[in-house]
Amino acid sequence: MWAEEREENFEPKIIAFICNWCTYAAADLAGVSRIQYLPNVRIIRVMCSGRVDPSFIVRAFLEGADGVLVSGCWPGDCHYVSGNEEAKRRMDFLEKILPMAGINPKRFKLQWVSASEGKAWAESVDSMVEQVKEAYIEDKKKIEGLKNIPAATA
Amino acid sequence: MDKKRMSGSVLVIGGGIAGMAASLDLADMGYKTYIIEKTPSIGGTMSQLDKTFPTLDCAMCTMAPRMVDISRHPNIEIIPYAEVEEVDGDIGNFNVKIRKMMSRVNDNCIGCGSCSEVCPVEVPNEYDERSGLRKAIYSPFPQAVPKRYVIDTEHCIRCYKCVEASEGKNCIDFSIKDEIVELEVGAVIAVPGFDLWDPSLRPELGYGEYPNVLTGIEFERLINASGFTGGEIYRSDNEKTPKKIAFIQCVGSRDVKAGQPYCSRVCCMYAVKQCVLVKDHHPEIDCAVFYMDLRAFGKGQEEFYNRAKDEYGIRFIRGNPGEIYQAGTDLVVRFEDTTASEPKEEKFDMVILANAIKPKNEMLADMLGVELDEDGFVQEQENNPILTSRKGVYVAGVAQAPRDITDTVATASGAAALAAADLASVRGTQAKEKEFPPEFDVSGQEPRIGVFICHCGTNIASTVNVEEVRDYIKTLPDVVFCDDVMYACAEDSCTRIPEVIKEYKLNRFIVASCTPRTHEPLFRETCQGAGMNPYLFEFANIRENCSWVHHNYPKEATEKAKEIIRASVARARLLEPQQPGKIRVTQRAMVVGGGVSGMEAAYRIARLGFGVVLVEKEKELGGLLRRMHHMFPDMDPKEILDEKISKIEGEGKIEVHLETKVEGLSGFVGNFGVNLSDGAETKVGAIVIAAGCDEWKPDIYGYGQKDVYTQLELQELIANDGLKDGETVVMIQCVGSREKESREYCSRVCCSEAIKNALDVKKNYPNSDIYILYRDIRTFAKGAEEMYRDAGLNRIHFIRYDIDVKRPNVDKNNVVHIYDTLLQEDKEIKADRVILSSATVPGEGFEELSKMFVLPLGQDGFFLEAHLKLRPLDFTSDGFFLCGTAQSPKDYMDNMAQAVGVSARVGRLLAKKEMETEAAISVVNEELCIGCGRCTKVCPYGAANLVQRGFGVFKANVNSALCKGCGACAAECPTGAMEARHFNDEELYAVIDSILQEV
Repeated sequence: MWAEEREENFEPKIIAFICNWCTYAAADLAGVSRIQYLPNVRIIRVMCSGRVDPSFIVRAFLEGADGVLVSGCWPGDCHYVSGNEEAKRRMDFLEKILPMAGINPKRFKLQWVSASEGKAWAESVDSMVEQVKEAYIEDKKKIEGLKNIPAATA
Repeated sequence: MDKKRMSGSVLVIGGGIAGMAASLDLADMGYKTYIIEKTPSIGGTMSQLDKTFPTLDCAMCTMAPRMVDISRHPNIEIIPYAEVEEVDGDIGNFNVKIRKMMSRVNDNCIGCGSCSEVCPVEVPNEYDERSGLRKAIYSPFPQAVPKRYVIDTEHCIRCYKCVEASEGKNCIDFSIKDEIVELEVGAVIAVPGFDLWDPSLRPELGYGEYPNVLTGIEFERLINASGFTGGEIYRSDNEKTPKKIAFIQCVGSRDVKAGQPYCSRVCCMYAVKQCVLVKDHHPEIDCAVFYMDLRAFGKGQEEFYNRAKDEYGIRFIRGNPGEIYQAGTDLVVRFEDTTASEPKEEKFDMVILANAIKPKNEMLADMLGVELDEDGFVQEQENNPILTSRKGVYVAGVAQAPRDITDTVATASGAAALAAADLASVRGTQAKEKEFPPEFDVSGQEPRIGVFICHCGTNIASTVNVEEVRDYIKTLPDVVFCDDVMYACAEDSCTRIPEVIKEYKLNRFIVASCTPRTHEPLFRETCQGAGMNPYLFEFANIRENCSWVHHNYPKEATEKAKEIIRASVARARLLEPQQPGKIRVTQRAMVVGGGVSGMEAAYRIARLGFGVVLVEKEKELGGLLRRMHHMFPDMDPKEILDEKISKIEGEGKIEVHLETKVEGLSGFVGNFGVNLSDGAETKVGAIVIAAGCDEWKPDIYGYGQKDVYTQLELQELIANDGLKDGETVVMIQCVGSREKESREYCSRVCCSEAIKNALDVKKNYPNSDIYILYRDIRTFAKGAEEMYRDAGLNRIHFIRYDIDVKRPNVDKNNVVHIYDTLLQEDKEIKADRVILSSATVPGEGFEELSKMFVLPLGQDGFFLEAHLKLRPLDFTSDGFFLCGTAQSPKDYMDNMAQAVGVSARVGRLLAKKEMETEAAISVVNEELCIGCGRCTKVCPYGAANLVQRGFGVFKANVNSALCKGCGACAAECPTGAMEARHFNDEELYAVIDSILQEV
């Protein structure tokens, strides 16, 4: 299990797929406003959150990402009219199947951030880091629990 | 005018931000433009600034790409280190004599700087406000454009060491003399900038006597990372970091005795900004601002001021210090805290004086014969701040009145528009197209990647260890070349990129610096200059996404920067060249909103030679102006309205649709299809949002009770003689504005509006007793401060209140209760009329328009421009523009400046018959396509369609003119047949893998 492979005071690495027009602009705004946030996130810029293929997220988890954040414009604000709605539909579906693959759903988040919300971007990164750390503790406990179960007698 | 003899070129006198903005607009519209600049480089005052308020954008970072654009524009010629000697002739045909000062350095200069290194002479550096030093042979600053050194002949000792150091380049030539150049131009734009008042003329403040009393601009150089201390704040006498800094406002401004009765308009905000910058570097330094009225009136400024107070703990003290004296190493400031009515003394170790802005218009008056006003600013004509008394001569920026960068840029575009309109018939006659060398073919080649890693002065390098990152990136496979540079966007770096591409036979290039959202076009074009397809360029953002947001994690930030660039290298390997398509541009614009801004914008676009569709939802044109009867300082709205309407009718190119709304929009930049509610369907290439604001209907201070009115309603009352003489009139300011919970912004016009109305009441009803209850009086506009003074002389009473102490209250009997913070006492005034200066609010149609056109609104509810300082009239979405109160509340003059200015922005787009379409679009691999049609369902533009390829065989197809490259279809495609070019699956997988790769 994922948590087993991590160190004690682990710092999660989070991949963020963000859209060029809203969230990337917000990240720029956080930058120019010097709003500080945790360095755990790696941004992958795409033109629209609608470009984010669920396979990207699966790939990221398979390659060892601790968390994945997808972020785009608020509903109704999409630069490409409706790409974020497509993203929502796909991510909702993905969220349902992640636990089936043994991935704690807290390791994934879809979050809307508009171009004027530099602070919201910084906060969503920080809270994602928190959330992934919680997932780590939960999963760790689960592992401990599993270890304590006496070996099944057939 | 003889058409044949008109010149298609324009002279721009002054290379500051106004001159730069005007030149770029003109050159893009197809006019040859000459910039004459007195100093060795363009850039002006803005190039000296650290950050700009209220967004804290780094000034150099936002302007450097423009400087580079100018230096490469085929239609712009910079004539630096030169002055205008003589201007003859008339509109359409000016003859200009220019004196090029002897720089003794010729065109062979490559800007290497080896001459400067050996020069033994050091003189105070003007760029650092004479605080730092420069050599006698010098370039004023690292990003200078052109990057050509000059010899300051006054200080040169003729030791010829520079000539020796330049060995063989033949770049220094002591035989060069002053040279006179003659030009023929059709119009002149004069943007001389401004001077600053000498604060030693108020000797009691100690400037010139005490070394730690500085002016605002001197302090700006001190805190600037590119300044002479590298951004370290210390006292010049003991090199210690100050513990307490005082900022003193209105030094020479709003001061009749000093000769500047007007407000300098920018000082309050730059003081607030400087305090915030100080706090960012040194949270322990105490900053106190001494002010009379804190004037945070522009977009985002009140919000910024609140942050300075609440988050940064900057102290704001209402009082105008009368004396500063030195005691030991301390500077003692004597002042009266007017909210406590007591004289006080406080010790500081540094004092910053906000000295007044003064006009620098001698050249305009003497050489161009332009009429000046009594303060020495240009006397505007026809209520248009850009028009001068001489035909064919236009001004922008501070020439007409003090202005901040946002307003300066709007007037600069305006000046470009007016000059272009004069010369519309000869547009393009002297212009050239941008030319690039033929592209080299990269197919089948192994990737050879070059990387520039930018220090951005200290913006990146103070957090990220750039050298360590560089050494790491050098080890990556396929990276053939990697170097670190001080400023990747500076001209010298941009000149180097094509050189290294050629030298190392590179076929991919990466710049690791700031955000692609602002700088990608610049670097793409730079690569094109070397024959590289622009899509083989890759951007790595290690500033906004890294150094700026991880100050406290230098180690992690350095690792992160490595990973960001490593991922870019991984993607660069897979990048492929892309080719844009070409589409015809519909050379016609639509203006939404028929208020004054919309009407002016429509008229000006038509004057540039383009057709306009003007859409107004009401029965008649005029907007909010129809409800006005008298505008400050003294304009007649009815007259203005009649004149504008007759101009629109007379123009012949403007199609007006009244009682009409836009119901549908299709297409894209250059080719919008518009459906109007009156059934009309039309095509336009550009859309201007000029939907104006509304006056808020208050729900406080007894509004709704008898005799309680808003200011607009009061205008109506005065016009209809609805008041009686001898009444007590109480005006309350900031009703619904400057409220953190609802509308944090300042409505900008209400102070001047209230004072003008008060004076009107007084004039018509001389025995009226008028009170204005205010928080800060913000009469910043030209003529407004004078009006405020007039109000005092006319016995209009001003009572200051503070909502943090006690809010005023209007009871049922219209008795106004207020706590006067200056006399520290409660007052009750029985009012016959209560007048509320109600907030300016976004028009009710804003949300609908925002949805229809997919244009963003800011947190204040007004439309969000592309960049507050340098692109106030553009949206980020191509083909959309904005002006007037749609952007934020404004007075008539500022609306005019924007409305005229927006026509130049539209003109830039419509001037071309053809434009390139997005190259990074989706394409179908028909072999993989199963014709399921899911792409057609998610495509918001109808660009993806199914086409029949045989009996029962359907394949997806993408219309390249409609596709915008969002990539939703590629994510939807179940077989991988749909490829989003430039963001394809392989590239994105490579990026993911690279980030997560174990090192």
